[in-house]
Amino acid sequence: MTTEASEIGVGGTPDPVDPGAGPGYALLQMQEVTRRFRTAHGVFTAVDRVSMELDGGSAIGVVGESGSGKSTLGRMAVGLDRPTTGTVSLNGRSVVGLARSRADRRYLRQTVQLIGQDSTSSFDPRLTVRQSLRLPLRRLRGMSTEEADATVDETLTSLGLSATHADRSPGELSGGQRQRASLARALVVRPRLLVCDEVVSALDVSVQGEVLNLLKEYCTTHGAGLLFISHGLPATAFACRELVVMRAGRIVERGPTEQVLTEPGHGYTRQLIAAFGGRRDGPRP
Amino acid sequence: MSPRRAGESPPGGGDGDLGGREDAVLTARGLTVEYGTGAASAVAVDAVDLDIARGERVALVGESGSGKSSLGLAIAGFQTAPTARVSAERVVFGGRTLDRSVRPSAIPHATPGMAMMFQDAMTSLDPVWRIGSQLVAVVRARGGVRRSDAAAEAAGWLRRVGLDDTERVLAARPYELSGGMRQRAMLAMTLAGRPSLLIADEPTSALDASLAREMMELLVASVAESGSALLVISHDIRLCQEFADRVLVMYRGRIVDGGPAADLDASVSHPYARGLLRCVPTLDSYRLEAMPTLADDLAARRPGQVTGPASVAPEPRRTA
Repeated sequence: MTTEASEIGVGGTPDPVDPGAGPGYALLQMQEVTRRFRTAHGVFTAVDRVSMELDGGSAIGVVGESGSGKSTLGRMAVGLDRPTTGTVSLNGRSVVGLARSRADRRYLRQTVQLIGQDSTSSFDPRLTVRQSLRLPLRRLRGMSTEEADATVDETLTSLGLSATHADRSPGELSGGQRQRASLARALVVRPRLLVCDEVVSALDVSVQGEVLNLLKEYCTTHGAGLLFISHGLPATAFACRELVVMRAGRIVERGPTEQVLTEPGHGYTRQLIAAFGGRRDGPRP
Repeated sequence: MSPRRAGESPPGGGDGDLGGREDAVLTARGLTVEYGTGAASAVAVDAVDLDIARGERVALVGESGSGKSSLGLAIAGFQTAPTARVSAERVVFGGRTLDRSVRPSAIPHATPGMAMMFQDAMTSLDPVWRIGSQLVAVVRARGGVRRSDAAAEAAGWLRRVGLDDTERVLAARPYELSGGMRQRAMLAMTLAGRPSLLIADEPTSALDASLAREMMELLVASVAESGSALLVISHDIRLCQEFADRVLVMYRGRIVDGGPAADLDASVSHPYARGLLRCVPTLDSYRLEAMPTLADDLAARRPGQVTGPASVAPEPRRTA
């Protein structure tokens, strides 16, 4: 299945070069990032000295079980959480710094968008889907209400929803429809970096394929980077050329998808592959 | 423990009908579930016939909104929504005819010999009762079990499902356990009723992949040990194929296809069922340009005849 760029509904023309992008900086850079939480049982290290770099147009998949620190990593990438030590930067600018001032927050939100697993909590239940999608278009892309509405309709149509869905409240949509609406909410901003945290885990298999294809397509068309966090190894492998395997806050294995799947170096990776029924056809020449 | 080979499974045929076999633990004919009234009514389960043999493992797969959970709840007698209506020609369980019509009372009646477990142990276990009290209540509900014996038996059930730290688990409240442990505790609770039919609604969906496989293995091993039949309701057709004897595909309230799990790929012919098998992401699909989707599959096979559920099949893409 191929879809033309214009059908993605978030604009077919490649974006102008990001004014905030400095030369020589990676889109997303994490250096020795550690995040500790204080709990009733002492200090818990959720993310332990993780470093990674992600450029526009490339995709990294982060896999691991619940509690391995993947979601905390995603939250730090978008500035919703701060590392205890280490730095997270977007185009060379510290995310923690960007989250501080109002003007910089605007830049931060234009640059990176997070899509979460729970689409119910990513919408304001009192607003219709259209109202929720209009907001970022008006605030971040400076559109008039009419322009915003046209973009909303176009985007929703490209994601298999219709204008009638736009005028419903999120509670009136099915789980699959709501997740596609939440994808639309992130894509209308036209971010340079998409952080997806378990976006397909709650979806039916047929919708999973749709969403994955659309994500891939968006990133190819707009040269955007993708940080794909999931415990679903097959979907992650499909979305990303590079895999990072996390366990207990640490990266235990990383490399090109093909290599990680065919020659897993860590016992945990092998366990994960087996959990998904292993490879059917084995490595191909 | 390895799943039983499909060759040993009772001959099923393409639908849920075993032809009213004598060894059926459950026979349902014309089971229908409707929600709402008048113009707003929706038929969730449409005159389904289903037979499950003693000790058989049947998987019911389908997407959200296909009616699989409604069917499970109706069989268990747990349909209590005031707007729900359940009707059937007959539902026979263990030789007894059951009345599954929805009663106005809010609390469903337990059916001896039938147990049901759910996706999310967090919301299906009572949050303020300790696991021990809940488990003992189930054991004692069988009748004729003394409190002291029930406590010992409860610990035994926990060990059966791999929760060896019984002291701690019995004294814990659901939120004090991890997701995997909660799910095991719920399995222990359903087994404690000594069911001859266990209905498991998405028993692994809330778990990580590695835990999901473990849970499924445990579930299958547990029912094999107790001789209970199992009806697994799931959206994961590949996982079900591996662990069930027979897989039934539900679509828009009907069982449209199915067959022995082992040669499901060859035996199913309904376009929806074929599409469902095709679009599951596997570790080999990462090389694909685009993930196959059900909408494509249905469109390619029977244009205009079968359309997906409204929430699944997107409208055709505009070409201009």
